[in-house]
Amino acid sequence: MNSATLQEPVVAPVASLDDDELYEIIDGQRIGLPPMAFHAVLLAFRLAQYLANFVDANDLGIVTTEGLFHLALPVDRNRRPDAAFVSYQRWPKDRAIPVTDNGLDVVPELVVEVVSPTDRIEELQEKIHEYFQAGVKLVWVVHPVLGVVHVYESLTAIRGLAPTDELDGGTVLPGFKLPIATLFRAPISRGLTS
Amino acid sequence: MNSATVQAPVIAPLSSGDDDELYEIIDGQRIELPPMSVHAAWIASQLTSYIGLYVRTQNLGRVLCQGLFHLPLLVDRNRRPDVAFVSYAGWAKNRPIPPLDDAWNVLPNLVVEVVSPTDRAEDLMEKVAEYFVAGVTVVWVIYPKCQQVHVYESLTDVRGLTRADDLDGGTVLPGFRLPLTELFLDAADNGVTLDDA
Repeated sequence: MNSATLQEPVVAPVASLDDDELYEIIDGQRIGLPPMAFHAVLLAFRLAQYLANFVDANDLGIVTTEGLFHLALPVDRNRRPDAAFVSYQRWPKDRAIPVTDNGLDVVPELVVEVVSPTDRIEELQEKIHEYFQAGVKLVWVVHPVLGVVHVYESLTAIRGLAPTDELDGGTVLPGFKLPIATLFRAPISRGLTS
Repeated sequence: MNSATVQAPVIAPLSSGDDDELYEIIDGQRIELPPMSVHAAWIASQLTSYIGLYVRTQNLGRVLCQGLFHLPLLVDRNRRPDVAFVSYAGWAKNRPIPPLDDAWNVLPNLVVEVVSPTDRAEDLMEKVAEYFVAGVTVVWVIYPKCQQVHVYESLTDVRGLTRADDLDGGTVLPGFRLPLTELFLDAADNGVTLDDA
């Protein structure tokens, strides 16, 4: 294996390759992820697709969906963001991705979490906390039911984007722009206002 | 009954006086609230007393813990925020609170939701959205485990606070300031154990 590690290599301690459950590693324990709504899967994929198009066209790094990352934290946490971007600065272009590891030993610059109906709000907030502790620079939280995206540049710098706004890559992906309306396409109405 | 109604009075359709379950009304259906952790209940109680003391001394209005509110929405929603502040401008000081109603037909100025471990993200955000559609000015969402607070002035106008910050009453409770160390007493007790990173 030719990967340099950020700290002790404790990625994917218990998984086998024929294992198809989506899990994370929390304090060394393998924890199954709550089920993801089809609509959330669709949004995560769509967003990753726009990201990947931009990242590939500009030769900036790699984009994943549901990739497991080993976060460089004092506690053992492997997290599986719905979508993520890792630049070639953090994982060089010519460095091979280990073919047998379930998790990648790098901290992404950008992670995306799309909220599903069974997601717990406290766990989501805890993940965001961890991402920033580990060195993630930008977190996008997509709320499908509300048609809103919350952009975190830190735990305290938060911006909410409505359907008339535009998601932009900030300092992580300068030049990336995606209208929120393009992301959601058909808005969901819960009958609150009409 | 001497309460003017915000819209058609559809509050408290089916409860009896000896009913102690905490519920909300969502689209006319009575929905039981998820259980509140004792830590969340403690934080809600602390906030109730801090805000309560402030609004009493400043003569600003009333504070409720776990009171049921009938929201003026096109759908039938009664919500039970963990803490709510109703100014005297919204409900006059000398106007009695209806003694028999389960839900109060008034719009709170400030609503606080303290997150419990079983609370779902989508449900919470939908509540926040409803509060703003109904006309609530400010919503505070408290995350006890992560020791963070989100201050919403709309769904898209959010500020994040950590343990190092002060919670500010803004335009709703002018002059109110609470260091979050008063709410999140023990820095090590956040369960995340990342702060020694």
